[in-house]
Amino acid sequence: MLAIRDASIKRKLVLVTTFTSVVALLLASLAFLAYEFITFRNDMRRELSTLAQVLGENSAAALTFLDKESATQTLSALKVEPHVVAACIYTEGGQIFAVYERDSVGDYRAKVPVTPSFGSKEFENGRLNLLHRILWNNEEVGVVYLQSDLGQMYSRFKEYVGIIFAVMALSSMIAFLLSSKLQQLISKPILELAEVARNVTTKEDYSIRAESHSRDEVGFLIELFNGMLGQIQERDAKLQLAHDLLEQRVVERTKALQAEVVERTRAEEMLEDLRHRYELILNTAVEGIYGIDLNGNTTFLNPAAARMLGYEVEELIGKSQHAMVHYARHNGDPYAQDDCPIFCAARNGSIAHADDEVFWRKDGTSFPVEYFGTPIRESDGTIIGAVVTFRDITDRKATEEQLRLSEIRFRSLVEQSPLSTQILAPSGVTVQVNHAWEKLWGATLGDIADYNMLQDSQLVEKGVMQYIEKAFKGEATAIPPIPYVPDRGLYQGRELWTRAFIYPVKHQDGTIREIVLIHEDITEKVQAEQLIHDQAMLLDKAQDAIFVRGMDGNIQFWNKSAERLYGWTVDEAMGKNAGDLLYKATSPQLAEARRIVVEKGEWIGELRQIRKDRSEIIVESRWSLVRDKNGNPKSALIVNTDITQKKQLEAQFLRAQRMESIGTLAGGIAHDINNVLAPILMSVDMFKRKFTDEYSQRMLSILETSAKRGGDLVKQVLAFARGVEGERTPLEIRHLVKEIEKITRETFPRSVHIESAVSKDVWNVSGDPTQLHQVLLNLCVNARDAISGEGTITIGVDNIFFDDSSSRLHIDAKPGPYVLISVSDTGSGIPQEILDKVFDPFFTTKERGKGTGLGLSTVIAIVKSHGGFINVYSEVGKGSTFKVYLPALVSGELRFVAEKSNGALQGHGELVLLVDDEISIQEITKETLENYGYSVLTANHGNEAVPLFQQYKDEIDIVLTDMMMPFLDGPSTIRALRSIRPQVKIIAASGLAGHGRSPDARAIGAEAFLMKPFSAEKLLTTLREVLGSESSS
Amino acid sequence: MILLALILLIPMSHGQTPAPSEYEIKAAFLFNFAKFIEWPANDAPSLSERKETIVLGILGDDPFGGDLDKIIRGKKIRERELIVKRFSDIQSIQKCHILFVSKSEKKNLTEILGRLKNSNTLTVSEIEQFTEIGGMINFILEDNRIRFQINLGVAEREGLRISSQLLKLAYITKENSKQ
Repeated sequence: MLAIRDASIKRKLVLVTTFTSVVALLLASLAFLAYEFITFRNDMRRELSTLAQVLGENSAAALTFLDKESATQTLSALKVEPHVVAACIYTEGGQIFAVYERDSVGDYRAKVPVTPSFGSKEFENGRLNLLHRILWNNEEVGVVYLQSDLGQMYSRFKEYVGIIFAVMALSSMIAFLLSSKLQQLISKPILELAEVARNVTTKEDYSIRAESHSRDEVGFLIELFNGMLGQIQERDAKLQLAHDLLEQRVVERTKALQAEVVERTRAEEMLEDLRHRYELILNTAVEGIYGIDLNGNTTFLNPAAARMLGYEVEELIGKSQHAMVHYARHNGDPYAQDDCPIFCAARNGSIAHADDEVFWRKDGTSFPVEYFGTPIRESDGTIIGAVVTFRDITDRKATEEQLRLSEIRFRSLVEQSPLSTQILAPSGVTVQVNHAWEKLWGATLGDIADYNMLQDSQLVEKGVMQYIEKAFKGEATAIPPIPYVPDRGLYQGRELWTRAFIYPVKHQDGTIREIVLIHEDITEKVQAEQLIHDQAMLLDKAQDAIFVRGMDGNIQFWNKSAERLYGWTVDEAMGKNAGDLLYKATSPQLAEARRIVVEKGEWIGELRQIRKDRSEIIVESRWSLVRDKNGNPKSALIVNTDITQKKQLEAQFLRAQRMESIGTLAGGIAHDINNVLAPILMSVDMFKRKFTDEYSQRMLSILETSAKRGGDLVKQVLAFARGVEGERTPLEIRHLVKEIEKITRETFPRSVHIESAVSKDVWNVSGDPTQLHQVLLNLCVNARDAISGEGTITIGVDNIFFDDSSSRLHIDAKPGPYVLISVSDTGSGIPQEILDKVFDPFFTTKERGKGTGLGLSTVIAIVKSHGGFINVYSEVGKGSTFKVYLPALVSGELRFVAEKSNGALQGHGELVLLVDDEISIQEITKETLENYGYSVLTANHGNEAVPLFQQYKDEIDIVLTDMMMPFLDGPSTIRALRSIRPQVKIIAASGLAGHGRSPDARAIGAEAFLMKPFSAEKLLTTLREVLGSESSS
Repeated sequence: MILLALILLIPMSHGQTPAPSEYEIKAAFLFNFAKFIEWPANDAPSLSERKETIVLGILGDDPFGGDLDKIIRGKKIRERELIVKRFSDIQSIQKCHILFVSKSEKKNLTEILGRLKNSNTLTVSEIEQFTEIGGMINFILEDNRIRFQINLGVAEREGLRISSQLLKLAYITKENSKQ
């Protein structure tokens, strides 16, 4: 709309005219269109209605006589009516009778309603729906339905709209052309007037006039405009006249003034130049400058002076300079003007100079100054005043003071320093020493007047001269500690440990002025360290694990035995938390120990701890509190003795006791039950004879069997309880084993293989063959039951000799010869938690009724009564081995002693590397070997063994290694050792490597295999065998 | 039982009644014929019945039973009531608008048709070749549908005007030349 508002009048006129005519036309067309629409609709409905009527009449008979074909045919005549898209004839009842549907046109597929419904919309979705009742003889026989599309109507409308647009476009154009021409009638005069007005404005020519062509409003406007121009023209002429006069007068006056100004400017410039030069000198001077007259009053003052004095220049001009800034001396005493050198300079013509006086500022503070006063003389020599220059020397004074203070401070520092300080000249001669030095060396400066450090041979000897020379060449350096023995003074000949620091003091040009040497006496510290070192060596020798834990729990000391016991090296253990390192979880016992050791100063008790390989040990622990100088708890010294083995023996002892008491109890009850069963059995016999009918006989048989079974049970219990005293005859175990092998082969399932390994020359034992038979059978039956499916039972027999040390492994073991019968199986194994209980009477893992729980307890009772003992080794999933040790009935001892004495088993100083994580075994074996003339190196596991072997690879003759070890197990250790020295002799040892039989030593890379536990004899024999083979190979 | 393609179109059978029998349909057709046929203005001077009645006669055995009576009950055609009359033989016949000749009268056809000449009676039957021997409308069965033949010549001769609508649905036949 804005665009229209700013459009030219021409365009506005054209627009208005055209727009008006277009709107009028549009309205007329719309009205026409609306009328056409309504008319057309009515026509269409009428047409369709007629059509429906015709159709209805034509199909009345078909309806009446149910002739669908005929009706359909009638409807198909609609094909000629292109707008009818669907038609239908319904019966009187409203069912579809005949249908006509035009083929789909575009997307639309006409559908007839399922039932006719009068009263629905006729025009809908661009369709006209029409229902018509078919009457025959005034009776309704059915309904006809027609659907017509409005295509006809719409196409007609399109046509109309097209025409309307064409007419409108044409008439709009004509209206536009006409108005474009006719508008000039109005716009031309106005535009002409506008052109005239513009000419007047731009040319400022008010004589121009517009022409009028008509007598209408525009003509009147032009006349008025012309009148207005006339008035302006007249006034303009008068104004021009006055203006011209004024201009002329101004020009004349200006010329006169200009001449005057030029003259004056030149003089002023010269003066200004001079003044500038002086001002520049005064203003740029850093020093204060002022002048005074003969009375001492200020004549001039430069800005620097005013600034230093804290005044404005104007405040001092004309005032007495002395009274304003120089009225008192630095300590506040009044200063008479007559004494002032400056005043004298102005008065007497003397030169004044001072650098120990002060000037006073406006704010009453003073500052030290140095000034020069010079008299000012006229050209004839008469004095007219003085000029003074001065400067503020506060900074200079402060620096001087600081220098003085620092000198004092330094001197007292050196003098009072607790560090011995010695100052030397570059020549090496001492120039100054302090008190600490005198105290340290027991000498004075005078004592060393002839001493030159650079020529001290002792310093060369002790290897520190190079450091000293370095300092003399200009480099500060620390001298390492040395024990120095003075050759003079109080401590002459005594060893003094000192540590020193030496540095040069240089001149500004870099040359050395003097050398400062600072000593520290560390004699006591060195001695203390030595002491600690010695003590640590002692602690390392101790058998017990000794360590120190700080109050925070961190380990501060860790001896060799602790390394051995726990498997952690010093480096690993130091600084670690003892709680984390040695315990599985925080135990209340540990907390208790910590509390009590702080309260009472010490604690003794047992602790369960873990080693590096996570195995559990029991230690007897003794804690002592260590306090610092102030008496506060600092750390705890802990001494631990490994009592794991002791505890195990204790447990075995307790178990034996428990078994004995159970046995006694069971024995008592068994006896009474026997007394109960005997009458029952007797009565059964009697009844059997009396009641001979089949039923009674059967019941009595059951009764008899049960009672007898009861009797057998009691017998077993008694055997266990009484310890089974049977006959004792010398027995060959070999025969016994053969017999068992035969029985088991015959009776056990085929899937269980029986093997035996009986050594040659097995010793005899003294025993009851029936009882020992039972022992072996029970063990074999248990082995069978442990095997589900395929498996092997191996029965082994071997001679074994327990010496003092190896007999420690079992509480019942006594030194002497034994026969070892082992029964191994490849069955399910026994879980660790019940391993302890398998020998208890009535303990069984079998189903109720299958086992009595007396088998193994009977076995142990029998073995015990034979003076032997049993060990069991088991691993879940792998199998179990029961080892029965029976005392041998031989002169084995004699034989062994004889062998020992004739030296067949004696070593000849060969070096054995013994690798075993079991400390007890390690100890026993070492002791035995050393007794028989071997040298022994020990290692706890493979990781220790390998470096040790590396170190002594040429000295070590043979290696004896366990196969099951933490960190590096047997096979890996053997491989590692062989890689260092392939020809090394190795004996492997293990507790449960096979099933009673030694595995092939070669297979694991060893020369021989020792089954654990081995006797001293076996060990020594094997060693001799392996070592002996060396010569042959 | 004849299966009928159109089962729901008999006026009397409302809703889901069993499919109408052949004779129910034929009865309905008989009634409906009256709607599409105009008799001459003096169609009943010889009849004792009032002019307002249209008489439907059955000659011979009645195959409709009561069906025809049921259909016409209460109905009017062009303001005229309808009645059914049954005749056992040709002698007893009275003036009718429509006469249905039963199959039982097959042997007497020639006599019957001869007697009905100039009686303005619309003859209807279901006997084969009925129209060919001078009958006007004959029911036939075609594809299980009941259709009819019309002999237009005979009807015109008797002064009956048959609606073209009806003719459209019928097979138009002619008399045999012999006849």
